[in-house]
Amino acid sequence: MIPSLNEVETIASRATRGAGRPWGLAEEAARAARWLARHGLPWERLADLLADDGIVAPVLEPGRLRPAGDGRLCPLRSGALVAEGGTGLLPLRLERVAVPLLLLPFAADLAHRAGRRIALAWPAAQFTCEPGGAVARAAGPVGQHDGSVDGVEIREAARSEAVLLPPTAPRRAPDPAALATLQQLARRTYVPATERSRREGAGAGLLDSD
Amino acid sequence: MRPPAQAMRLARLGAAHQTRLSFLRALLRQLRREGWRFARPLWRIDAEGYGTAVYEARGPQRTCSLVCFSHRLDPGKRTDRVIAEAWDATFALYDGVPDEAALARLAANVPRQEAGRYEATELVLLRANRSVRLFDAVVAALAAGRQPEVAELEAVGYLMRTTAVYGNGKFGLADRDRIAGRPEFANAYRAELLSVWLARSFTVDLAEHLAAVRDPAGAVPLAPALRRRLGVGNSTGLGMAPYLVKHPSLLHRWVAARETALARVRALPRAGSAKKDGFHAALARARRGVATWRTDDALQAERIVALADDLGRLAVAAPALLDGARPWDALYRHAEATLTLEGQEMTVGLLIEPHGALVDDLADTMQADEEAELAIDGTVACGAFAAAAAASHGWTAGFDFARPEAQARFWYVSEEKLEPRLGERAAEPGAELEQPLATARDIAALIRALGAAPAEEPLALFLLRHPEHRHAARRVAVAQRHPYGEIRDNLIGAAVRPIDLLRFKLACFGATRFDPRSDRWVRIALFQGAPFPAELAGEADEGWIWGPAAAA
Repeated sequence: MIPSLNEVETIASRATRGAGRPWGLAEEAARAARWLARHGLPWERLADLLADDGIVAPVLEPGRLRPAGDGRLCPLRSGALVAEGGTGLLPLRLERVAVPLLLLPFAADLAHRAGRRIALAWPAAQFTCEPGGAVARAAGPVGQHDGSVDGVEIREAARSEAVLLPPTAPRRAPDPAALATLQQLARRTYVPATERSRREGAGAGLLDSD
Repeated sequence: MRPPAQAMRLARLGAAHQTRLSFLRALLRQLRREGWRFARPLWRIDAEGYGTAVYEARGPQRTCSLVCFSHRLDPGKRTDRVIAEAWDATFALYDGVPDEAALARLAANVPRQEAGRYEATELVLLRANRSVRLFDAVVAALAAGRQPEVAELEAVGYLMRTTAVYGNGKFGLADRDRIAGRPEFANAYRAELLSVWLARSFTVDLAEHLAAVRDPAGAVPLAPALRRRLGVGNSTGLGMAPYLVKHPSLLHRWVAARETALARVRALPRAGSAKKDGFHAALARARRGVATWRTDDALQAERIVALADDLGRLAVAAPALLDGARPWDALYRHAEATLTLEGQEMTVGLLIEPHGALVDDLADTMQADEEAELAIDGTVACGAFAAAAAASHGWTAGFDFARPEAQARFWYVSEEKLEPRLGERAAEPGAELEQPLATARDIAALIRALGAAPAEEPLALFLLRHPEHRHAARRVAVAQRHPYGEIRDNLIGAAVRPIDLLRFKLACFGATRFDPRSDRWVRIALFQGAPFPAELAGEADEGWIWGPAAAA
């Protein structure tokens, strides 16, 4: 199945809610997934995040965001902080972040809002987000997934020589196993039909003789 | 401009009528202005009325095609519900001219609707069922060499009604991104409404075809004046209801455009005779239109009777008001003081009607780049954000959510075809999975939580600690720049009427003849009275939407 951007958003939102996250984070997951899909990146790695039992609350200290106790940071919650907290929080080091690729849309959002070039890096990858919307990648094959990474750095950046991601990539088929996980989580947000809900819940008769 | 506290009450939204800013009216103006041409390059319909047809719309830069499939349908399976699995006719709007390979692929998928898969070359997917009452009667009359009765046509208003119209990436269709930059599709719902307008031609062509099959020598086509009385019906249930809540920046644009148009007209110092004549002509047509507006719904029937009375009184009061200073403002104030909600909202449309040159530009402001407009500024202090929330959403404090009536309902998505439904919280399972439509409740909770946060703490840190308030915070953030984006009522209360949400969106489309079937299901007509494609170039007058011209 090759989803449209709208379908990516819908699956991401419902799967995140189905995994027990609040609707506000489901909305962030939807927008982040859409952004990644539009740039040809493996948005379906969201499945790894939602399957991770070790996500814990974040603790913010000067220059550092770390998980409370053992465990990992949620890139959605962390990413929202980065996008919305302004460049005053930078440079910021995020420790033990699950699926750091999911931070990229938020870094791009910050670059756009602040009108500054923002770099996002961890040992296997480096990205630079331009204020006009372009995103460049230097180092790191993004096809393989980084499950969890210690030491993600977000900072304002100097220009880098790097390869631009396509602003609008062709639709691609996501990894089937990850997609299946997301669809299974999404189904948790659907309420099983009952005779009563079928009859009364939606409007319009079952039989139409007009 | 009317303030949000007035314009955004659900009851008023539920009394909305079309105006010249409605999407289908703006679409037809654009098609006419740009000189679009229309053709039917394929008609492969058999003697029983089943098969394939293609209608082309050729614009200055591009062509698109409505591909139509007509099916045999067991009457026992004909239903308006989203959970239907078969229909009389299914359609897709194809981006370009489909070759045989594309037609074959569409033939394998379009008849299956939601169960098919589509590609970015398909923009819109829709389906329609026949009006059992009218379709056969029209075929019989035409086959017998006579025209159907006007009263019969008016009683229904369409040969077929759509039961779902999908766009924007659903089931693999093209994402809006693909067409958002094209002038013909940049604005809200243009592709969808173009599809419905072309499907209208198909419904008439099909009836004439079947009449000609029945009696090749004696059958006649439908007379143009009668044909105009047929629109495309639409049956809308709860599937449409969450949309207005989930798209606050769009809702704001739609309301703001109308309110701006109204304000511009009200600000005019005098009324010239041409504008007065235009108003009176529209009012006369509206009165005839209201006289033919039928419904079995008792509440709506009462409202229509009151509306007819309102318009009669408006006709008496208008001449004197329009002769004075700030005439349109005087007329509006008179309506607000003396008419029902239906009367007031119809008056808004009538006031705007003769002022196309002044307001039609606003029809191009009704689309939004939602991604850009949903950002939360986390650098503001909690105290300042709380003050902003009190200004935009202080009204949420007026509900006591501890009382069961205030949370009597919940919105959810059913496992069955993912159909949105509304349940009774106390009596049905599933409330823990409710959709985020409990706007008043959740924003009231946010406001309370902000009150407990340090006033100088940046909002971003508050949200880091409280992800459960994020979606409510986003609504408050969006509302600061989009004052008409929030419906000011409790959408999970016992008294909520989902049909008010449906009615408002349908009025923005340009729908008429609202015919409620329950508090969450409504039938309407689209394009009733509108020109057909071959008639479009020759017709500048838009009065057709208000009702019939004076009886011949």
